[in-house]
This record gives sequence, C-alpha cells and structure tokens, in this order.
Amino acid sequence: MSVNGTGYLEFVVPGIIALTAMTTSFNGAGTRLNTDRLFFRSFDECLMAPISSLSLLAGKAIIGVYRGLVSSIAFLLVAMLIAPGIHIGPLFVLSLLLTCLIFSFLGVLAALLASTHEDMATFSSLILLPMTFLGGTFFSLSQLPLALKMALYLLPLTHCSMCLRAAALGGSFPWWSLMGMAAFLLAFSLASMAVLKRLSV
Amino acid sequence: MDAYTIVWSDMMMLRRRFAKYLLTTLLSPLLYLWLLDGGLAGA
Repeated sequence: MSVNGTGYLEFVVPGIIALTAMTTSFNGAGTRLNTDRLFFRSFDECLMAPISSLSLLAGKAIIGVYRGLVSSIAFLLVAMLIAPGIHIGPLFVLSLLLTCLIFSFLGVLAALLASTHEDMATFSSLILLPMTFLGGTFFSLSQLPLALKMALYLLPLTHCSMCLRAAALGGSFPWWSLMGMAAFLLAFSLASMAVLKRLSV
Repeated sequence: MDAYTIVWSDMMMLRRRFAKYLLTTLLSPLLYLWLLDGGLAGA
C-alpha cells in the first residue's frame, strides 16, 4: 500500500511523531501544571515569587517541550529501524521543536483555564482526541474534498504533520504551514500570558 | 534565567522516573506503528 508514491509505513511515521510530540508535550506541561495549581496549590507560591510572568510561563512550557522531544526522539530511533527512508534534517528538527512548543503552550493554556481536574480530561477528549485522527496523521489531505480540507487546516496538528512529513520524506516543504505553526504558537503563548496575568492579579 | 528555576523541580522528578516515563509515552506510538505496519502497510 502506498500514499502519494511513498510506502504507507514511511508515510505514517512522521504523523505518529507529530502525534507523540503533541500528546507528550501537552500532558507534560498541562497535566503537571493543573496538578500543581489545583491539587498541591504550589502554583500560587510561584505566582507570589519574584519571578516574571514570562519566565514562569516559559519554565512551565519548557518542561513540556523537553518531554515531547525525549519521547519523539526515542520513537524516531525505533521507527528508523523499520522505515529507514526517513530523512532527518534541519527543517525536520525545526518542525519538531515548533510542534512541541505549540502543544506545550496549549497545555499550559488549558491548565490555566481549567477550574477542575475534569476540565483537563474534557479538553483532551474534545480537542486532542479528534485532532489525533483528523490532523492528517494517518492519511493524506490531498484525497479529501476542499471544504473538509479547509476545516482540517484549522487544526494545528495538520500543519505539524505536513511539515514533519515533507521534511522527513524530502517532498516540497509547505512553508505556509510553517507560518501557520508559528501563528498558532504566538496565539497560544499570548493567550497563556493573558490568562496568567489575570490569575496573578 | 528564572525559567530555569521553574524547570528544575520538574526535571528532577522526571530524572527519577525516566525509565517509567519513557516506557509509558512510547507505548502508544509503538502500538500504532506495529498495528499499522502489520495491518494497513501489509495490505
């Protein structure tokens, strides 16, 4: 079975990497922050400490990025044994880093907005789970009707999968998707900053 | 630089449970890979 002229296994590996980066970054940053904020109540002490909001936000996001990178690289090492045609270059590394950053900030945002632990689970069920299967991870968007394709471009994981796949398989790189990823990162980080400022008042 | 202070506690916790963390996060992608390799890719 082949998709766009590539074996399905080589096609799907970058999608699974995007998926791994998404879930581990989101959970690494979000679940931890949610527990600190609502269960241990230790986040309030961070808010009172003489640390700028930007540093606090960056620190909470960096741990998600680190966890996302560790998991993705570990999976990539195993996947490269099965699908050796995958190419790792600077664009792949950049796309992976941006993917981890986007979902880490989304996790921070969700954790700051959540008022109970159930809210995080609801967010995961309503946003992350559909994105897992609709974000172009397991299939090519080129085979979809235009209206559906446009709707799927609204999901950040779609752009992450496309960039990682193009970088890994050596196709023409979707620069506009990279711009889209940067826009999502900016939106999530600014929203997190706004919510954090509101919490620290 | 203050961000490093925030990261530190989480890094310490992660370092202590690194093997367990790696195993749990790798399980689902490896299952996806295994099932897709054995299922759809073989079709």
